[in-house]
Amino acid sequence: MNSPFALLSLIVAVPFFGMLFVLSSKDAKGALPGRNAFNVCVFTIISNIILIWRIFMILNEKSASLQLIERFDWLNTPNIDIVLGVDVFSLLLILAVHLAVLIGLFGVSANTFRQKSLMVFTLLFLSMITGFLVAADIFSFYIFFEAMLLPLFMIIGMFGEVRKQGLINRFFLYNFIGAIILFSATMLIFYHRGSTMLADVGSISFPAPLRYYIWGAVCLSFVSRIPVWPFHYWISSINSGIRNPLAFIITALLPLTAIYGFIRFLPARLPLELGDYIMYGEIIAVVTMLFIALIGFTNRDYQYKIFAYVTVYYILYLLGVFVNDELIMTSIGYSLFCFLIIMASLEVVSGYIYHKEQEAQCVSNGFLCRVKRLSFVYSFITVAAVGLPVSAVFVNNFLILSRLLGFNVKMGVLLVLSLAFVGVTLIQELLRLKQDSKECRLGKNDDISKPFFAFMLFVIFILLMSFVKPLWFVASA
Amino acid sequence: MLQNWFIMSPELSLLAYLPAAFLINRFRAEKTAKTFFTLSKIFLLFTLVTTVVFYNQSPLGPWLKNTSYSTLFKTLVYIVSLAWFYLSSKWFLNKNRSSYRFYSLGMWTLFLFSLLISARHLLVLAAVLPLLGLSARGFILMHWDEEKVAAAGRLYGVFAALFSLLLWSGVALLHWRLGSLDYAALQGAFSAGEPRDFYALLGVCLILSAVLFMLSAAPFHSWFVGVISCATLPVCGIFTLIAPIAWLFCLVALVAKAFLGLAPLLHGILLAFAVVSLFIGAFSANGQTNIRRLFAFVGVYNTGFLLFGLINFNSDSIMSAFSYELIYVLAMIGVYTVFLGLKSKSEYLSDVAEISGLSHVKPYISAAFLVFMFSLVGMPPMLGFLGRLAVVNTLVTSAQWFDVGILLVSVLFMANAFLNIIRTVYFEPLKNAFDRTDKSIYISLFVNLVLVIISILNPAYVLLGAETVLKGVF
Repeated sequence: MNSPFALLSLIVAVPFFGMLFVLSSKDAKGALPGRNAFNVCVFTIISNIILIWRIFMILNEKSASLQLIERFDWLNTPNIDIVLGVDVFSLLLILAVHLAVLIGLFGVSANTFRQKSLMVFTLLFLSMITGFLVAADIFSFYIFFEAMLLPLFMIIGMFGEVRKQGLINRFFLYNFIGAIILFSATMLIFYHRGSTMLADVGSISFPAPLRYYIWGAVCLSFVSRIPVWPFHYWISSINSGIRNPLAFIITALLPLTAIYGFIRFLPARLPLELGDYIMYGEIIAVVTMLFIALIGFTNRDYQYKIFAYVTVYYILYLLGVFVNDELIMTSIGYSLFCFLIIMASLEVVSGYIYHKEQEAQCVSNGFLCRVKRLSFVYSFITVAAVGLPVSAVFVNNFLILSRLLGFNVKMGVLLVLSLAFVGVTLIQELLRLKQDSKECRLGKNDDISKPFFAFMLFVIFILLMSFVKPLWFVASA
Repeated sequence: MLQNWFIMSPELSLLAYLPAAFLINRFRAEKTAKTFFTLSKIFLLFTLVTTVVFYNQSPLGPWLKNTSYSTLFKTLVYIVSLAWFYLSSKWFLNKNRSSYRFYSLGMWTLFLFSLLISARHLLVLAAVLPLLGLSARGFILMHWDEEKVAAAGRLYGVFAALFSLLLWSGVALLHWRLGSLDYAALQGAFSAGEPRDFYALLGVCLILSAVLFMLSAAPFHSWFVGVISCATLPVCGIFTLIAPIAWLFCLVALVAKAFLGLAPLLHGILLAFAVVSLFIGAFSANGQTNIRRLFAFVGVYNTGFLLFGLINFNSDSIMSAFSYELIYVLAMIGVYTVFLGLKSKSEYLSDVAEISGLSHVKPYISAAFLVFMFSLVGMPPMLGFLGRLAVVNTLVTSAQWFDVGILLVSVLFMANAFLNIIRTVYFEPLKNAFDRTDKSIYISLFVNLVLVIISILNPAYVLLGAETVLKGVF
């Protein structure tokens, strides 16, 4: 099916044009700095969400192949066509990313520090990641894979509060190396097959030494974006220090690109040569998962706890991807959709509590006893994050875990253990906030605003509906 | 005979500027920097139009020959010159200095570049190169206020004289061994395998070394770095933006029309220069505190990248080198426009530390700077990615995997050098009070960025015509 009105290009272009509008926006007299930019950004994202929803309406959700194909003659020498296309999986992720960023925006609505820059780079990032998720050929996939590094670097540098400036350079270069490795693999594939669709890469038979290099390079470039040992240092040192909720959410979307990359690139049957390496990779991934879950459990910093939660779940999805089962892929899609929303919500409400704590210069123990709205939202999000039956995470993670247990019991047990640790970590934090303490000077007035509460209720509604039916918003589903 | 004069009208127009400017300088009482820019613009536009009109007409038989691809390069040189002359007028207006000498030297240099691009005889090259050396020295010493500028001028003078001597020696050796200096005759001789003795090959190497010196390829780059770090901004622009295009074509013409029979030897020589330029450029750019010096090393790095694109000597390679150069020039014009917007207390800033926190007060200039720097690294979705893709593709299609590896590693080092500037501009606190930026700087940046966006969305607009023209080179 071809795309009417080039809808896929449109959902990539809308955030980009929104960025240009933000660039040209000026603040009204007396308004908060960057308020206008913020409003334009929110409006842009909501407009794009409506467009995405419209695309869901015309998509055949039963088809596993890419739909709404758009093809552009881009370059003559070398002969490269840019092809865009979506399936339910990628569109779900696009919607989830937009919702996560929208939630993140509410976390920075009161921010006055370089708000316009934050909005500009957020929209640029959104445009690039949307392009990445609709890319259907190897070149557009690579272009967007690398392109999202620029806004990410700028957001981390300006809002990440990274004390060691050299760390940002190394973080960028480390990700850039991953992108360069993917570029070399892309050029090799291009050399052998010309401009190739992602779906066809798996069916190309490369000569023996080249096969190792191409698949090795592809795996390495994706793994470099997931905090798995030995690649965990740069990501963990950056992510766990970010205090700006939106910046954290955007940074936490980076591993998603790797998971998605594996799903798109890996052929239906993995090359036999990779079998052993993947087994070693799985062992390393599980050990990293357990290790990070334990550190999250013992660490007192709320940001590290959320980082541990995010990492453990991403590694779970990564391991699920390697099972290479169509049912599991669907489960990963549904689970990821809710996971991204939960992660963003958790970060925003935790960030809110942290900033209140900083303002009042006291501990937040028992804070939730005094604020009803925040207490309800925080409790629900924690319950959803732990994986209890309030969102699509519950059923789908159950399916992924059961398949992984069937695949390898020892690995499955360690996975369950890691998930239990991060679950306990989050509940421990909830209990701390619920256990009243005299040292906490925060009161009723510090509750979240009614509009924010209403928005969070809408988010909770989305999560609950996804538990009932993952594609509830699609009329024909 | 009359026809020949008409065909020569682009060159004559460039020369005609000189007496006209002299008369205006002598007799007009109210003259500003803009006066000479306006005059040069008129003559340059006429040159541009007549160059296109007589695109395949050759005035002086075997000495000078115009073809569609030489016209393409000439047109590019004139357009870039026009843009840079316009931007330079802002510098002269700001400094309240006479621009007479700059524009006169500029038009004279363009005349020499025009001869260089049309050259089909080594004697033309041997005559033009020293003259270009002299005018370059004139540029360097223009408006010099400091001892280091004089030192850079002296250093350049010595090197230019030395390489002119090398060029003449090379030309003499070739004449001795082959009996002709005409490109077509040399091509015929080398293709037939005629004398491949030491002296003939030495002659070729000496000629190439002189061209590579002018192209600022490492290890002959020290003069370029020295000049760029201390000369005035308009002069730096001439060396960085205009000269490389002319010298690139000179190298292409030499390789394609005279020495193609020695392709394996040339491949080795150019590859060695490419690797050295790439790594010296990328390594040295890291850790520079002078922003212009840093971009001088970017120029050296660019030469290396360009040579990598060229070393296969086929239509793909010339296309990749051309598109890389075009994209580089577009980005560098942007960078130099940004430099023109970086002023504090009427002084143009050149130290990295001086632009700390620039994004706080000049967000648009900072954003443009960011775009151009990422473009120079070749990062998508910036236009520079197309250049990187074109060069890497040429190497991939000829299965030069090791060269691809070298290129990609060098990109990482170059990226690190730019990250330091970006960090200073965006992540560090404001330390300096910047002057108000002229509106024309913003307009120039806007036009440049629009061109960049159009080119990245549909590169065919820019490159399709060039591709057709350049197919005839090899």
